[in-house]
Amino acid sequence: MSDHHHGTTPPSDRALRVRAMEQLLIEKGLIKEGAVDTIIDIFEHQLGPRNGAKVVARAWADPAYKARLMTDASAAIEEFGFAGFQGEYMVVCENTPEVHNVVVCTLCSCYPWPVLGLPPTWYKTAPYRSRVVIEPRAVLEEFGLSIPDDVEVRVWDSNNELRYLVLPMRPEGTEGWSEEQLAELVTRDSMIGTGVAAVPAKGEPA
Amino acid sequence: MDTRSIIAALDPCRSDLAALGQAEIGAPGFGEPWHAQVFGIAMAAAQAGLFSWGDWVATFSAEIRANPQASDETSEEAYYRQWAAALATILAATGAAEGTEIEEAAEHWRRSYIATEHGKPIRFRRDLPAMEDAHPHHHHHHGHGKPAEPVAVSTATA
Repeated sequence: MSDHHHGTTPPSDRALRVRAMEQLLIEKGLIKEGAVDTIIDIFEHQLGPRNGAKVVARAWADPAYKARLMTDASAAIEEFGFAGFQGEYMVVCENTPEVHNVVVCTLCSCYPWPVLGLPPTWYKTAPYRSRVVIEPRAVLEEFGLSIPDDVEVRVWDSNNELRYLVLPMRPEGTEGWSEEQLAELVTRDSMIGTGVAAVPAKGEPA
Repeated sequence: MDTRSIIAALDPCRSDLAALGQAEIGAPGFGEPWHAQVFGIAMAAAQAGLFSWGDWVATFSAEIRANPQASDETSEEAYYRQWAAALATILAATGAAEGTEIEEAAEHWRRSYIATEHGKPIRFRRDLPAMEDAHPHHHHHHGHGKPAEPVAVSTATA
């Protein structure tokens, strides 16, 4: 073997600066070694819309739970063990035949992480953040969601203290379904308000 | 940047907005390792009490306003560029880390990569000299002026 080993190609300057930031905070004792990896692991493996789907399904199936969810969403969601990182307060907005709710963060990308995980890419774009406030019906049309004229559309602006979760309407034809079966119908977008819950195929559940 | 089209702000590969959320229930993952890292650092620093999450949102949203998505960026590239810049701003503002310190440590990380044999874990070192040749591919020696050769060849049989 020659003296010349093959070095490792460094990542981009931006990635190196990020490594440097973590390095400095650990060296100075400001954050613990492994703290960042723990957070990444939680976001990659524990948080996501399946959590929110469980909350929605229980609210559909259990009127007492729904009552708790509507009065103190943070506490009701914590019954599942899903809790916020920064102590942000959760509010649930219920869709009805008269009202459709949709969530945005006009400033940046505040989002109910414990129940939905990381936000979808479009949620973070400037066009979504600005336009859903100005012309919500037109934006929802782009998502393939046509809101009838006699239904009010309410847009909720998330921030560092308040995070909103939409409670979609329970699809018809799901009487007697279990929470697990119901949860399968709850899409991510139905909990943001850019979609509705899936409609059960005929004959479901088997 | 066109502020009208959500689709235009996304990766140009995506074309059907309606199909984006309906099909899958999963949350999107991190596109690149450093996206995950920079996201996690901000959260770890806030949890450690270096700044409040309210201060973070104020800093991050100011960065988004000041340096919006450019026409040659996808929304994800812009988002994590803004996130990283906001983190540098708030670390400097709180006295946790100055920009010059970050640049210096980044340079040591770069040298540490180049000095580490490919495949070995990178050990951060601050004692490496400035590399006269920053690009590791220049360290590759492909024999003495011979053209590069394939590493394996399966010959044609017909």
